[in-house]
Amino acid sequence: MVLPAQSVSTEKVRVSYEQFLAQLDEDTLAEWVDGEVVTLSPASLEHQDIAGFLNALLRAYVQKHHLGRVISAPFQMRLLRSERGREPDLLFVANENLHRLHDTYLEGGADLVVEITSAESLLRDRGEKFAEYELEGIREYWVIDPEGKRVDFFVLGEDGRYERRREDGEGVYHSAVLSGFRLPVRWLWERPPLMEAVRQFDNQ
Amino acid sequence: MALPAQSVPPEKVKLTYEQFLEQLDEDTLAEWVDGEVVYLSPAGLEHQLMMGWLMRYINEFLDRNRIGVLVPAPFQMRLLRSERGREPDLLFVANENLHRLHDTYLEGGADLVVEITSAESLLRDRGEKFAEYELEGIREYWVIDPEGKRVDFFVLGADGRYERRREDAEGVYHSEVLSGFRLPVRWLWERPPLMEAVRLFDNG
Repeated sequence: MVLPAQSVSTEKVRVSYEQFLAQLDEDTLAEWVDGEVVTLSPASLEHQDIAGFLNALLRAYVQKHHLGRVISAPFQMRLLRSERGREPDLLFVANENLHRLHDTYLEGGADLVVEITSAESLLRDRGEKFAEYELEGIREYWVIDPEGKRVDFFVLGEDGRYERRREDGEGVYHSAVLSGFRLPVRWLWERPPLMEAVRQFDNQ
Repeated sequence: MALPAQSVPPEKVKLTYEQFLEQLDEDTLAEWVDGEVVYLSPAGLEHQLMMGWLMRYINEFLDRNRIGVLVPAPFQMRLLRSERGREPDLLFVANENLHRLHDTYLEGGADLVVEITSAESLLRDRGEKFAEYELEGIREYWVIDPEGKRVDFFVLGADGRYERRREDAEGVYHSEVLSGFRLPVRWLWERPPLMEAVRLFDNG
């Protein structure tokens, strides 16, 4: 390849994960990819509404059953296999992995990760992060697409690869990691009052 | 985010796809991602031997079934949905899409793409490219991992998502796009003489 001098990309600034964490403002969404800081676009209202609803629903379930902790963005997850630092929209850490939870980041993968996509993040969520989370051994990964009104659920198979799981005949997803947790997918768009949603949970 | 001045990433040089193609030397492996030129690592010996064998084997099939052409790297595939230019190890273009095959690149996705991974390319092949090829509607995608001695085969489902396809009980993969093509996966590592291998087509 013959490139004119002005096309040679300039040297990129690389930082260690520790430097990245030290520089990170707690209100800023940013990720650490190949030693570089990647800032993320601000979220949309619909994105925030879904994240808020799901956060409340998951917290209620996880607290009631004493399963671990649910954490919402911005919070760092340090992936050891791919050497990246990601900030998922929601992450769940099971009790047996709480020792990996530090004050400002999770060391290694969560047990379940939720990403809510936008046009800007779709390729990253379905592509880069999909492969990184799979490699890290994150047991369950949900990719929520508000525009397409669909969710792809992945559960790690015995061969270390994600398998897609589908909703049941009533459109209800049964989580593998959060045993007993069932999510009617349309709730993500309808967002019923939490009290009602939790009551349905209890009656299931 | 409070970043010291020296950490602000310098302005990156963006090229149009036409500029990228013009500057691309035909012997250089490079891709076009978000307007930037990304150079690829030189391939390893095992990668090249496997690619050579597989190319010949598929071409034997295509000699008998004149359904399209197989193009080896380095050759550009311009993805329109993700606006990227990739150079797959092998790409197959069916007869009905040959009008999209230009002298130096394919406009849009191939019908079947094969990537042979290395430690360096694994996340890209299983992540970024997986999502790009799916979005582009590439009907079949093989990811061959020589180190792990395994292949993941994906076929585009009716819902526009890749579904993993497995080998049959004898370890033979049946292609969807190359109708009638069969690949005993172990042959990728054993690489039997072609004269013997093609008996699978001729007697099968």
